[in-house]
Parts: sequence; C-alpha cells; structure tokens
Amino acid sequence: MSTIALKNVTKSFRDHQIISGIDLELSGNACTVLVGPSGCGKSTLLRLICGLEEPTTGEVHIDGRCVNTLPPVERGIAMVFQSYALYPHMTVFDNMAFALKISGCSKTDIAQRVHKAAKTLNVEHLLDRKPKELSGGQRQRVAIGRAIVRHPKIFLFDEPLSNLDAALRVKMRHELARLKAELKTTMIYVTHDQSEAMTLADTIVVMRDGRIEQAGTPLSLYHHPENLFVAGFIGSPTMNFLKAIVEKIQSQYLVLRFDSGETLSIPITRAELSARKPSLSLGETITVGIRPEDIKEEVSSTEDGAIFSGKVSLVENLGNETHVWVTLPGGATLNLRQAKKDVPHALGQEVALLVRAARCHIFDPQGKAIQRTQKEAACSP
Amino acid sequence: MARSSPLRRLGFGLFCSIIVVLCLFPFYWAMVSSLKSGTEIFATDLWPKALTFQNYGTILQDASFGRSFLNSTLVALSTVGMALLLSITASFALARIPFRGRKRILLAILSVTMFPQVAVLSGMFELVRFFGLYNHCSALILSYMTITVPFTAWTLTNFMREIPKELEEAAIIDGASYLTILVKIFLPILSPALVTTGLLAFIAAWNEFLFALTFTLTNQARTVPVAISLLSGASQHELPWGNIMAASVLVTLPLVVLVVIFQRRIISGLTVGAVKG
Repeated sequence: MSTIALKNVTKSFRDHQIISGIDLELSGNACTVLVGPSGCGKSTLLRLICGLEEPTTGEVHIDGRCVNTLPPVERGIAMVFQSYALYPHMTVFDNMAFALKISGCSKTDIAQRVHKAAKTLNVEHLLDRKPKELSGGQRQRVAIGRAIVRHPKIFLFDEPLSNLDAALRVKMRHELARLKAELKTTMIYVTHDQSEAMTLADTIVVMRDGRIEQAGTPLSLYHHPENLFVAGFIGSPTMNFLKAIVEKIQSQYLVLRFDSGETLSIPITRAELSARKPSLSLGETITVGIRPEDIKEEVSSTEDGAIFSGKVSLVENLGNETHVWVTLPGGATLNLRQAKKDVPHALGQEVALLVRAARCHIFDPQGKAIQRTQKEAACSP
Repeated sequence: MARSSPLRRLGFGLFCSIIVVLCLFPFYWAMVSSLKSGTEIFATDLWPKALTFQNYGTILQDASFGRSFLNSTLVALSTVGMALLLSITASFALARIPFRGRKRILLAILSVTMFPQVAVLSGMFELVRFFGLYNHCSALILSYMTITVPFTAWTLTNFMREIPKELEEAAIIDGASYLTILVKIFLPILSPALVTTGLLAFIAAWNEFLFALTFTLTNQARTVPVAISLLSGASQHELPWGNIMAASVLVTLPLVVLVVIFQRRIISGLTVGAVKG
C-alpha cells in the first residue's frame, strides 16, 4: 500500500509539451486507471512515475518522498509493457528471475518466488519454454509474473491488453481483476479503452492533451461528467449531444429550444444555475447530453421530456440489445439502446423518441457541465 | 508466373552453373595444381596424371611458413576480438543512447569505410613508425582495425537499433545497469549478428595483403598472404608454383571450416531483425 503524489508535474520533449501541469494524489490499495485518447500523455505520465522519464518541472512523490532522481529499481515499482518486452533468449523462469538475480537474491529464494508467481498465473508448466513458444495470452501472463515476483509496492500497466484479441482481452481483464484483489497493492493502469477503465478501476483519471479532465470513481464519471469531453469519452455507445438555445429561465425549470423546434424543460434550481459564473443568459447556445439508454420510444409516456421524430439510419444487433441510430430532420443523430424484447426497427422507419428531461446532462457554451441534484435522483431508476 | 516451362528452367540452371564454375574454377585450379609435380604443372590437364602431395610436404616442413600461419591466426583473431569489443560498445552508444552529433559520427564511420587502403597507406606507415610497431604483428592488428571497426560498428549499430526499446526499459526497471543490459540482454540477442560480422572481419584480416606487405620486414612478423607471395624457388628465375598453390589451399581451409561451422548462424544473422520479443 503506497501513496503516489504528482506535484505540478510537466514534461516536454523539445518544444512540445506532453504533460502540462498535473497534480494528482493516489493512495491505498486502489487501482487507478489513466484513460484518454492516444497522444493524451497517459503513457508519459506512467513513465514519469516509474522513472523511465524525468519530469521537466514538478515533483513525483512516492510514500511521501521525492523520487525525481531515483532510478526505477529503487522506487519499488514494477511495470508491465504493452508489447510484453520479454527477453527472447531466456526461458520463462529466467525472465521472471532476472530482476531477482540482479538484486542478489539467493537461488532457493528465487526459485520459490518464481514458482509461487507462476502458480498464481497458471504458467507453471511453461517455465522451461522460451517466449517465442508461447501464445499472446501466455506471454502477457509471464510479463505480469515478471512484475509480481519482485513484490513491488506499485504495479504499473501500460496498455497491457491492447495486443490481445477481443475474447482473450476480456479473459485477461477478469484475471487482472482477480489479481488486483489478491495482491492488494497500488496499481496504475493505462488504457485507451474506456470499458477496461470502467471495469478495473477504483478511480478513473480521464486525460486529454496532457491535462486531467476529471478524476473520480467510474460511476461518478459516468453519471456526473464534468465536461463534454468526459461525457463523450466514458460510455459506449457514446452519449448523444444536441445543441439547444436557452429560451426561458424559471425558478425550477430551464426551458430549452432545439434547432428542430422541440422544447424541453429541465428541472434545475436557481442555486444550481447560479453556481455557474457568469450565469446563463437567455439566447445562449448550450449542449444537452443524453445517454442512449435514457431515450425512450414510448411517446405516450407521461414523463417530462422532448419528443423528437426521425428516421432510423443504422441498426446494430448485438443479440442481447440493439443499438439504433436515428437521424433527425435537422441532420443530427440520436442513438439509443433497445432491449431484446423490443420490436426491431427497420432502416428508414419513422420513429418518435422521448428524451427524458430528468436524465439530461447540460453543458454550458464552454463545454462545462451544469450539475443538477434532480438528475442524481433520476440516476437510480 | 504460373509454372515455369522446362526450357526456362534449363536456362536458369545453365545460368547458375556458369556462375558456380566462374566462382569455383580458380580454386579448383589451385587445388589441382598443388597436386601436380615438376613440369606437369605447366600442362593444361584438368586432372593430374600422377597425384603427389610433395608440395604440401615442402610447405608444411617450411618453418617460416608455419610461423606466418601462426602470425596470421594471431593477427586475425586479435583483430576480430578487438574490433568486436570496440564496435559492440560503440554501437550500443550509437544505437541506444541519445547524444549530440550521433548522426555525424555514424556518417563519419560510414565514410571511413569508403577510403581505399592505398590512400591511408603512407599515413598509417608514419603512425606505425611513431608507435614503434614496425615489423611487429601489432602493427597489423592496429591497421586492420581501421578496416574492420567502421564496418562492424556500422553493421552492429543497425542490428542494435532493431532491438525493441521496451526490452531495454524492462531491464532498466528490473534494475539492470547499462553493462548488464549489454551483456545479458543485447549480446545474446545479437549473437547471430556478432558471428556474421566477426566472421567477415576475420576473413578481411586473414586475406589482407597491402598493409601486411608494407608494415612487415622479416619472416618473424609476416602473415600468410605475404609469405606466399614471397615464396621463392631455387633460382631467381624459378617460381615454385606447386608450393604456392599448396600454400594457398592450406590458407583457404580455415576460412572454409569457419564458414561451414557458422553457416546456420550466418543465415539467421541476416534475419535477426525478424526476432521480436
């Protein structure tokens, strides 16, 4: 169990700033997932923590101690690489024992630790093989085993599953979750896959362009994204966004008008509205976000919301559910989730959709979310 | 191209045979000549009428030839050893450690390999004299390094670049020093490349003539190529072709043996880039 603190860390390569001023504190036996689109600096951040890169400015602290100048091996970390990076000329046993040999462990100690790690990862029968004789999943296990044997304080994973095929990726994800529960150490995991982030993380840190966009538990990010980027990044299929104009500001409601003419009254208090400075004014264009599962097709519903009509433009059957894309007359598209029991849609079919007011996210013209307490209540159906 | 016609295949076979004959005939001629005796050597028979190993006997009993053979072995092995040591460390730096002027150094190394030997001969001679190495095997080792090191360093740098960066980083995280990374990780991975470049360097040093002729004076320091060229007969006007041919064959044998031994590794050395963790 360790604490990691980044204090105003920046990193530039030549004139190009990759990490611009990050403050972050992680502690406990938690798994923190750094997630973001490629090039957002998440891998660089990981390399700064493990010591493969030095920060340009700022400090990296591990357990309260500044480790800026410490070499990786003295930081008590272990790292699993995307490409496994197994030593090709060594057997699995030697791969796992390499770090222990360097640190001067006794032979019996090494053998014991390697066998224990191999057992945890079900690779005991592979100890005499070379990496080239292993499958992708087995290589990944060995790479993890190489990290485990050292009993590190902190585990770092750099997109460990992105080289595996889809089925194996899910399997290894489950194993990582099991491992996480067994090892009880601090883990930092980098991925660009938001579903990996959602399933493995205790805390998700969403990054973009070298900055932290939002950090929090997976569900808080899902239900209360702080800005448009996080709202669009977390969740699959992605959240729908519609532009709307502020038409009326009432004591309990915000009335919005969409381009296509529909109006929507969103429950919000004065206090919540005034939390945003400067406060919204009439005529401003804001963005309404709605998750695919919060769009209903029961037009007769008495629930508050806006009714949109459009044509089905794409249908994806997943078996357990169906994703339907509907193009609105204005050109915008809405995607929604249909449960299995619903009547399947045909392409080109006219449908009417209810966007539920209680479940809408609203974002000001700068893309920052305006949080509403009424929405929270609606989040648990 | 579907299946090639018989005519086409015949043509290809013929073409290949011509190349093989062109390459191997001089060596065959040397071998056959070495087995002839007396005036028969001046006949154009493709096979000697009477086989004789007399020429080999003469050469093997010649003490100075034995000495030259030892010198050649010593010079070639030392050259290969030192060239590999220097170029392994140099190529590690050139391929793996970013520093200013890295490209220029590589370019300089490449351009050094382009100079003809004659161009550096007189300068090298001054250098050898300055160090007091004239007529000494170490003069040859030193001068051969100027031929072999640029080539081996350039080749090994390119091979070393092929090794994925993550391997090095994994080793750093495992706590390995640069030296450990080089010895325990890089060298085993590079071993086919090392064998290939080492062998080529050995052949170059073994066959070298110009420097060996210029920097040595007596049999004490001579290497085989020079010794062969200086073999003389009973009189000034007689060239002992039989002995020369026998010596040539004897000198070629170590190379053939080395290449046969390392053949498999040379081939895998050419595809070292395909090896990925």
